[in-house]
Amino acid sequence: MNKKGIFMPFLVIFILFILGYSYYTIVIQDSEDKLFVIGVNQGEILKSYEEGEKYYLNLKQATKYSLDKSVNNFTKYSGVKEICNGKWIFYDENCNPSLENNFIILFKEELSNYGYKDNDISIENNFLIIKDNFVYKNEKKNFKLEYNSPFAVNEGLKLNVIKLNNLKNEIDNCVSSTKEKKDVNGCISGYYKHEQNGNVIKFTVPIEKEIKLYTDKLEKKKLDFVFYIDLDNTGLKTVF
Amino acid sequence: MKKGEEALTFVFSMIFIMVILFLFFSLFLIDSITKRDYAIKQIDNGNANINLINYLRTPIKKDYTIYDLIIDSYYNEEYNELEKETSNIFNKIYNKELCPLWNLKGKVNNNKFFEYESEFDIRKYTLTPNPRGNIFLLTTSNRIYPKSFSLELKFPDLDKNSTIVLTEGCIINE
Repeated sequence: MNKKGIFMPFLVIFILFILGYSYYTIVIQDSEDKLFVIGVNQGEILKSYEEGEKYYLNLKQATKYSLDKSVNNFTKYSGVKEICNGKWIFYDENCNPSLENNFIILFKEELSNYGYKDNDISIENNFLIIKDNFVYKNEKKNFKLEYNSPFAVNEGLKLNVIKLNNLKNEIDNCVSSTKEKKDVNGCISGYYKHEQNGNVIKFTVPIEKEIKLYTDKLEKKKLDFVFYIDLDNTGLKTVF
Repeated sequence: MKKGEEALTFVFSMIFIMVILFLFFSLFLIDSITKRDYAIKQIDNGNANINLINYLRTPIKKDYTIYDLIIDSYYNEEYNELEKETSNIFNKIYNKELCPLWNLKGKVNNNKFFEYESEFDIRKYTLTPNPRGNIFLLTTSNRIYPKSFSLELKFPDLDKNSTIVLTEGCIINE
C-alpha cells in the first residue's frame, strides 16, 4: 500500500480518537458539573461578611458580661489575689496592686468561659480594648475565599482604674516619704475616703456605675472598692 | 494498491468520516440540549441576615442595645419594652406593601420565651391545604416568599443555649 492509500484510514482513526477523547472529557467526565448554580460564590462573599458581623456582635456581648463579672471579682478581692485578704503589698509577688494586669487576668478568665481565647487585651484610658481578627476561609473548585477582618472591641470600664492608680501613687509617695507611721494618714488627700485603725488604713473608693449580674434574676449592684494598707508591711522602702 | 482500490478506500474513508462527524455532532447536540441546566438558586447567606444583626445592635439608650434588652427582659420576665421596640424597628424596616410579613421568635434551650410578628398573620397564608383558606392567593397573583434566618445569642449563663429566629415574607409577582 502506498502513502496515499494509508493516509485516509489513519486520518479516520485520528479523527475518531480526537472526537472520542473530546466527548469523554467534555460530556462524560464533566457530567457532575453540568448543573451551574449562579450566585453561590457571590453568596459566599456575603456570608463571610455576615459571619464576621455575628462573631463581632457576640464577642461584644460576651465582653459586657465578662466585664461586670470581673469588676465584681476584682472588687471582692481588692484588685489583688484572694490570699491577700484585701491588703495591698507593693512589689509583692501575689499582693502587688498592678491593677490593669490583675484586672486583665480576671477578665481573660471570664471571657474564656464564653469561648473567646487568645485575644489581645489591654486597658487604655479606662477603656478595655480587645483586638481580634476574624478569619473566614472557603475553598471550592475554581473559587478560593479568604476573608480577614481585624477589629477591636472598646468597652468603658465601670471601675475607674485611673483614679485607683492615682491613689496608689499617692500612697506610694506618702509612705515612702513619711518618717512616722502615724503621719501617713495625714499626707493622703481627703479626696479618698480612708480610715486608720492602728497600723492598718482602710480605703474605700465608690464605683460610680452599677454592674449587672445575672443569676436567676437580673441583679444590679453598686459596689465600693475597698482595700487595706498595713503600715508594717507595705512592700515599699520607707524611712521608718 | 491499484488506483481503483485507492479510490474505493478514499470514498469509504470519506463516508466513514462523515458518519463519525454526524454521530459526534448528534451526541454533543443531544448532550447540550438535555443535560445543561442553569439554575439561579437562592443565595445561602449563612442563615443569618443583616437585618437581624442590625436589629440586635440597635441602641435603645447609651451603651444599651436591643441585645441587652432581650437578655434583661428574659431575666426580669418583663417583655413590654422589648415588644414595643421590636414592633417599632421591624415595622420601619419592612414596607407593609412589599414585605407584609415578619415574625421574630426567641428561644432558650428550645423553649420559646418571646414571639412577635407583624399584623399580617402568617398562619392564614401558609401551609393551608385548602386554597380557599388562602385569600391572598385567590385575590391576587402575588405570592409571599418566606425566608427564615437564625442567630445564636450569647447568654450570661453558660448553660443557656439561645437562638433568635427572624422570618420575613416579601411579595413576589408572578
